[in-house]
Amino acid sequence: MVEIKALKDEIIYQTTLSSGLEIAIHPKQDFHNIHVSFQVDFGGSDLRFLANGEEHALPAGVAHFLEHLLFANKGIDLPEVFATAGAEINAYTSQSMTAYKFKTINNINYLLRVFLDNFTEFDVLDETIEKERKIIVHELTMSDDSVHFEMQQSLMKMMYSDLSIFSDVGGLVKDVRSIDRNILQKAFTTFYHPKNCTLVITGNVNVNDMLNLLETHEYNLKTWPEIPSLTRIITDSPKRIHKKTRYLNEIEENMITFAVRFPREIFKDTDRETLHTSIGSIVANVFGLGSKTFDYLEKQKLMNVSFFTKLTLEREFGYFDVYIQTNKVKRYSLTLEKILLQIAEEPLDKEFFEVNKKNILGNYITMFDNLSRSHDFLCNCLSERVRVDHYLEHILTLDVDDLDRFRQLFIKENIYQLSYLKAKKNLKTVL
Amino acid sequence: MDQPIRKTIRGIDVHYIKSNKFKTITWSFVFTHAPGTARINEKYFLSNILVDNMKKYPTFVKKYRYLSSLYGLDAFSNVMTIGANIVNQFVVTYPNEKYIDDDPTLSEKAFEFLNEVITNPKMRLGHLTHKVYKDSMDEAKQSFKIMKSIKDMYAYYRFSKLFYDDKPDLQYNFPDNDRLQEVTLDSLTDTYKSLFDSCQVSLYVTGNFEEARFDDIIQKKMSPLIKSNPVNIIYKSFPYNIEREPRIQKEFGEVSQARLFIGFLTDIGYFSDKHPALAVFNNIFGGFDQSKLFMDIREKSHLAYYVDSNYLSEENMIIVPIVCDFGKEDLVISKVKTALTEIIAGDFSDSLFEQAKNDALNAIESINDSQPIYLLQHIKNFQLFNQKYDLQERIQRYKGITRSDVIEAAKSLVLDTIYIHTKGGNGRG
Repeated sequence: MVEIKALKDEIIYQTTLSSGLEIAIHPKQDFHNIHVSFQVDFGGSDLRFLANGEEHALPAGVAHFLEHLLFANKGIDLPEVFATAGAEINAYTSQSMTAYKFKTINNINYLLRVFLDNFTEFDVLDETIEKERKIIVHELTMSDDSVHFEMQQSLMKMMYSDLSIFSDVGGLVKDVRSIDRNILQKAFTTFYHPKNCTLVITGNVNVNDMLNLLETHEYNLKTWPEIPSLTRIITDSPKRIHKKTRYLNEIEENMITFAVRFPREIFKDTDRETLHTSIGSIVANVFGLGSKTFDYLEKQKLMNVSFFTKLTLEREFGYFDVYIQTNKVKRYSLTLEKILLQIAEEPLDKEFFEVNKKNILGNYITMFDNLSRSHDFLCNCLSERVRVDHYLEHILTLDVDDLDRFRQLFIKENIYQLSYLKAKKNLKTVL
Repeated sequence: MDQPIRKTIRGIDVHYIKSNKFKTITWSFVFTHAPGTARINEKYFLSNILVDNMKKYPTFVKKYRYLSSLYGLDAFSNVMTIGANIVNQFVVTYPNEKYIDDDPTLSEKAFEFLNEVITNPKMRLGHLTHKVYKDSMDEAKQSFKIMKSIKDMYAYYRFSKLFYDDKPDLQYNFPDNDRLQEVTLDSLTDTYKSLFDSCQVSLYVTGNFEEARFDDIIQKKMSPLIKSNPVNIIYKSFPYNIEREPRIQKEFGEVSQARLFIGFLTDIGYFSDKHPALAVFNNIFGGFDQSKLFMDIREKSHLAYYVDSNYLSEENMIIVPIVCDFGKEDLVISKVKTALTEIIAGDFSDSLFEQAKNDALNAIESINDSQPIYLLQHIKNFQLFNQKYDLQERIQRYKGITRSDVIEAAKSLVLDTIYIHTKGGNGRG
């Protein structure tokens, strides 16, 4: 068991169980709640893969479908069991991962046992599969009304050619209708192996009690089949159209998104910790509050309340996007493109880079006041195979010159722009 | 957390809520205006204006670099209602010096910064600047446009207008888009000045700190401009008629699913004795994934992916939002009514009752895990009842709830408003 000193009074205990499940326990006994997350390295983009050299393909939406089904696995209504014990349970699926989470004040031993029981095998009734299929179709239809969702999908298709990357986590309705029991079983057997999963516990727990429970649970003691050697297959190549405009009747204001697509090579030859700290530091330096960019956009009246930025670093791909709703389309587009290109051409703001380290340290300390935030941070570190203390130290000792290689990602070939503009009256919607 | 210590320093009501378990310290000034919705937009705008237009740190760069040097000190403000009174709250929160090696005066700097935010905005000839006035108006208009582009939010906005249409002076919209034209630079400046000449002011401090040191900081560093004035604090009083016929409105648009909001009014007030029972009722009704609405409308009948119920305790309201297929609206509404009737008849299982009660109890017990939420409960309790928030007492009340209490709470609900946004009607909407 490794003891990681996240702060002088915050200790995290990490180890790998005999089954291969990697766990982290973060006791915070002054708090009432306990958060638990079980994370599976299987998400919406895992559509094609080699398992022991043999190629497999899944329809889009399988990871998400499985997530739904595992709430009714082995004849147990998991939400009902958890509600009766006074706990909340939930889950989500992203492009790279499926995460099952619960929160409780009482009955942690019982709930943890039931929780882990759920992942020992896949055993779901046909009626349950059909019931969830209908629910998922409803869920997918809800997104049809969202122009923001549609814009995000279009942006992904602009940047990527591989369906694994640009398809929505939930898949399309036709994909969901094509998923059968065999596909679901195959996905579970391949990906829900302990060596492909992690477990994090944060809150009012005793470390030894938790460790003892996990070590003696059937999930850990069971004889698991050998995990196949897994290689995801992504055959993505950059797309050539970098700018697109759509005219829509039904939007209130023009919507503009810029995105910087990071080449696949960077994900193959850079460790996850360096990837996060380096690109994250560049984004913070250029677009953070207190950056010259933010100040400039404000003074030029190109900034408003709709402006936001997002950095996405999935397992096999990643991008950075900037969004705004504005009527100053041409001026904003020219300005932002210039700002993005300047990242590669000019040095970063060194003064801001150094003072921002205090900001990062302060945010790190305050994060531990919030059980949910500190739990999620630990979950991310574990799934990325990054140590909490190393991550912080890495950021605090980073030098602005260390980022030169990553600044060169912000070049014209990697930049895309998608604009949704308000159509003039009496014009049909034009694609 | 420790029980609050209350004292008066330089005429201001000061409350210390100390706790060893949190790593942050928070200073929070609370300015309470006279009751009512007068100048509601001006009070709303003050939240952003003061934090973003400081004379000493006139640009984003200067301000945020200074805050970064204070280990990411977070300065923010918000506007809310407590009873029928609008409240402006100004807050700074920062890591405790115990965790930082090289700045033992962080608390002094934090409090000074907070005073700067409130008392030293950019002014011109005794007025807030025309720029802040224009920026505030532009931002409000832009927020409205953004809201209109998100169908769920816009449908809720339309529901709210209908719900409050016959309840004058009870809707506190931040901002109130129908009253933007009332705002002028003069009214904005006057509202700012009213913080000092007509608001009741309190100061709250939470975290792990030495009382004597903080007494000293307040004594020496609090701006002489900050003064407390007597203000009448009152509850909102909702017109309640058990025989009322609901108002129903249907609007049409280009949507892929129908959105419904069903609003119930109650005479059970916030913090009243029956409030915990209504919270448990809300859970049974539609508040979690074992509830009657969720199990029937989503799981059993597959009429909707999203169905929920929300108890807005300060508005005496329970809202049921649903997203369902076209043509199912009447059926869904009928099921909501049936679920309420069943609960009133006692038709809910003991296990559902226990689950709902545990869920509500956990939410209350979890207050102890959040410094901001615990602080907010104290602020509300002191404002409304002039006493501290007794979490243990609240927990005991929740533990003592019976099935009869829930049924009585359910009986208080009157169907007030139904709003439907759906497809059809020749594209009207």
